[in-house]
Amino acid sequence: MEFSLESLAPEERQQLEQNVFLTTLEQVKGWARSNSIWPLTFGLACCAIEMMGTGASHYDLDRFGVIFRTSPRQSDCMIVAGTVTKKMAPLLRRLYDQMPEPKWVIAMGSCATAGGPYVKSYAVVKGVDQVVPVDVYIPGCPPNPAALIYGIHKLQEKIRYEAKTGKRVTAT
Amino acid sequence: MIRTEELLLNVGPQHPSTHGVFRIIVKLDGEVITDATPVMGYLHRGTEKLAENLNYTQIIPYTDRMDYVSAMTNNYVLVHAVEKLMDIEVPERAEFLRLIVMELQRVASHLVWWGTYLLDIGAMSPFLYAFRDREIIVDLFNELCGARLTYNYMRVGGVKWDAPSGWIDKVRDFIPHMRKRLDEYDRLVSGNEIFLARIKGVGQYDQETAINYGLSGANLRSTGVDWDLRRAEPYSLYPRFEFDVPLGSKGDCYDRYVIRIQEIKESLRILEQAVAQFPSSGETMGKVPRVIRPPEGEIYARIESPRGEIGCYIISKGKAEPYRLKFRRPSFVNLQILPKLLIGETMTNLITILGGVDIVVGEVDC
Amino acid sequence: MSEDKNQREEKDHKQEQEQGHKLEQKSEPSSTPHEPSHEPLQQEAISSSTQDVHSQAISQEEKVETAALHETANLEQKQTPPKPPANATDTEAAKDKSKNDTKATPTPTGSAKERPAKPPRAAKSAEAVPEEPSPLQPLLDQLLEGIKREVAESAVQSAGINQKNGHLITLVVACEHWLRLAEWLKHDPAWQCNYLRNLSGVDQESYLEVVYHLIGLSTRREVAIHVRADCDSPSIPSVTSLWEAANWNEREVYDLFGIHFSDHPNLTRIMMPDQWVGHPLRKDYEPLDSEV
Repeated sequence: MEFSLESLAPEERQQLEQNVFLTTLEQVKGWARSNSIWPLTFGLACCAIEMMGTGASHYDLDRFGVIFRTSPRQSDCMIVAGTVTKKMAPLLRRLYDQMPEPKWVIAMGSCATAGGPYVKSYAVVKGVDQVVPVDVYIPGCPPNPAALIYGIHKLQEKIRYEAKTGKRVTAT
Repeated sequence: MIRTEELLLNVGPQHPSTHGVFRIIVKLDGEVITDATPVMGYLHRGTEKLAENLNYTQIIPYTDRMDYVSAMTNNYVLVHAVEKLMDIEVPERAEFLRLIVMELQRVASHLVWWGTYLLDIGAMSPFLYAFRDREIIVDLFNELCGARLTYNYMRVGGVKWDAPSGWIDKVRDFIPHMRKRLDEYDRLVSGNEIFLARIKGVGQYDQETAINYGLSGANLRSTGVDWDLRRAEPYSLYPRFEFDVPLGSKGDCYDRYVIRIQEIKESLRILEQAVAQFPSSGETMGKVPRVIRPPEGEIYARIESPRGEIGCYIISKGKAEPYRLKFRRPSFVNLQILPKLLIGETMTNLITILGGVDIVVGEVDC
Repeated sequence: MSEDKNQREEKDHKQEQEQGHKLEQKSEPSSTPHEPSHEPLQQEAISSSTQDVHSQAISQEEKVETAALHETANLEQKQTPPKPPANATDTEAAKDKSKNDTKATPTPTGSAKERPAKPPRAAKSAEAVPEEPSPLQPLLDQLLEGIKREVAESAVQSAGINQKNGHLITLVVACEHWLRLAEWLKHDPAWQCNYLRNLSGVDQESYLEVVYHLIGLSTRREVAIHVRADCDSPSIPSVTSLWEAANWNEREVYDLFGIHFSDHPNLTRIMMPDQWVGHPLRKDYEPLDSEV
C-alpha cells in the first residue's frame, strides 16, 4: 500500500507529525535499555564511596533510571569501582559471567582503567579490561560524581547508537 | 530419621553491605552460626612495598587510599611520624588547620558509618540523610584542598594549602547546623523499637577480651576502658581543647552506636573551640629541607582515627625513601574479634556485628 | 682527655673512624653486661657532645644490631651516655649537622651537664644539648634486672631508649627466649603489658626480624622488642596464646615475609591468594607475573 504524506491536508499532516513518530524496534529496545541501566553494586575501594555518594541524595542516580541491584542475575551493568587485585579477578570474571545479556561494563576510576596509582604493585591487575570487556572508562582518582554521571550518560549514548546503527562501538 | 547437615555459606566478597570486598565463610546449622572464617586480601594493593621506592611526600597520596573514608587522619599519621623523626616544628596555623580538618573528617566518617550501618540493618533513609550532610563537609574539603575523597593535603612540616578566605566562617556555620541535624537523627533512629531490638545485647564482649584482642577506638571504649589516644597520648593541639571521651559499659553494638554518635557531638565541640581559637595569620609550612631525609632511626607514631588507633612504623636508614613502612591499621586488628563474636549468633546478627565493628576494607588489606 | 678527641672527631671524621672509635670505647668500661648504672652516669657527667641527642640511642642500638660480634659487651654500651662520641663520627653526623643548621641552635661545647633526669622533652622542641640520660633510664635498668632474673641471663641482646619516639624502651631479644620474656612482661605486676599494639616484620638484608610494640594500659609502660630470625627457615615462637591480637598480624608477617611462627593456631596466607608463590615484602622478591 502506498503511503505518502502529500495526499493529506496540511493540518492533518501537522497533527500527524506531532503525535506519531516512526522508529525501529531496535531503537525502542535501545531507548528502554539505556534509560534503565541497573548496575551491580561492585564497589571495591575508594571509588565505591564516590559511587555511593552519587547514588545518594545530592547527586541522585535514580533520576536516570539507575537503581543499584545487588545480585548479578538481576543487573545489566557492572560498574567496577576500585582496584582489582589478582585475588579478586577470578571472582570478578565469575560475576560478569553470571550477568544475563545484554550487559555492559563501566570501569570507574584509574585503578580499574589501567592499574591507577598501584600500577607498580605486585598484587594489582593493571586494568580490569584484562578480565572483562569494558565499554566506558571513567578516569579520575576518584572520579567526581558528576564525572560518573557523565560516564553513565556516555554508556546510554553508546547503547542508543549501537541500537540505531547496528554498528558496534570499538576501541579503534 | 531426620538428619540435618551443616550448610556452608559464603558471605562473598561482593555483597550489598557496603563495607567492601570482604568474605566470610560461615557454617550454619539452621540459622545459627557454628563457625565463621573471614577471608581477606581481596584489596591488598601492596602499599607497604610500593612505599619502599617512593619518598615520603609521594607516599602521602597512598595513605589517603588506605582508609578512604577518613583520609585526613591517615595523612596525618604518616606526616606526624616523619616530623617526630626529624624534629620538625609545625607552625600554629598549620596545626590548627590539621586539627580542624581531622575533626571534620571524624564527623564525616562517623556519618558514613551511621548511614551504611542503618542501611545494612534495613533502614533506607538514614543513608540519604547522612550523605546529605557528608556532602557539606566534602564541599568544605573540596574548597580547601581540591579533592573530595583523597585529599593529599598534609605535608611533612605543615599543610599544602592555606584556608581560603571565608572558609573558617563556613566551618563555624556548619557546626550548629550539624548539631540540629544530629538531634533529628537521634530522634529518628535511637528510640526506634525495631532498631533497639536488633542492636541491644548483640555482639557483646568484656574488657579483658577487648584488651587481649588489641581493639581500639569505639570498640574498646564500649567496654568501659578509657583509652582514647587524643586524651591518653596527646598529639597535635588536643591538650588545648576540652572534650569528653564517651565510654560504654556493656560492650555490645548498642554501646558502640551510642559512643559514635556521642563522638560526633564531641568533635563538634572541639571544632567550635578550634574555630574560635584559630590564628588569623600564620605560616602553613614549617622549615623543612627540600628533600625530606629523616635520620637513621625508627619510630612508631599513632593517632586516634575514627576507627581506632592507627599507627605508622617507619624504619629509616637515612635515605629519602623509608626502609620499611608499616601501617598499623585499626580495622585489621579490630576485625580479629569477629569469628569469636559470631559463633552462636544468628545469620541476621552477623551483619549487625560486622557493621558495628566499623571496618573499611581498604584498611584491612592495606 | 677523651672528650676533646671526641669533639674533634665529631667534626672531622666519618664512618670509618666510628668503627675504630667504637672498639676503643668498648674496651674502656668493664664488660659485665648488666651493670649499667654506675659508669654511664659518670661518663655522662664528663662527656660532651655537640651532637643532637635524638638519634643517639636508636642509632647506637641499630649499630649494635648489625655488629653482631660484640653483643654482650655492647649491652653496657647501650646506655646512652658513653656512646655519643662514638656515634659522632658516623654518617648521621652530616645529617645531624645539617639538621642543626636548619634549627640554628648553638651547640654548646665542653660544659659537663650533671643534671638529674629532666622531664621528657616533646620530640619537636629539640635543643642540641649534650647527651643526657633519658628519664626512663632507671626503668630500663629495672627491666633488664627483671629479665635477667626471671627469664635468662642472655635473653636481651641489646637495649636502648629511642628518645625520638617518646623515650621508648627498645630491646633486641633472641628468639629462643622471646616467649618467656613475653609471658613475663605480660604477667609482671610492674609492667602488665596487656595490649599488643603493633607487630611488624622487617627485612634487614642479612636477617629478618619482627618488631613488637607493647603497652600496659594500666601501667602506661611501653616497650618495643625486636626479635631476630635468620634468613632461611626463620622461625619465631608465636605469642597468640598471650595476646590474641597477634593472630592475624603473625599470619600477615608469615604471608609477606615467610617467617614461620611456631604454635600458631592457623598459620596460612591471609593477604595473598593461597596459591601464591613467594613472600612479597622481602627485599629480594621478584614477581612472577609482572605483565598482568
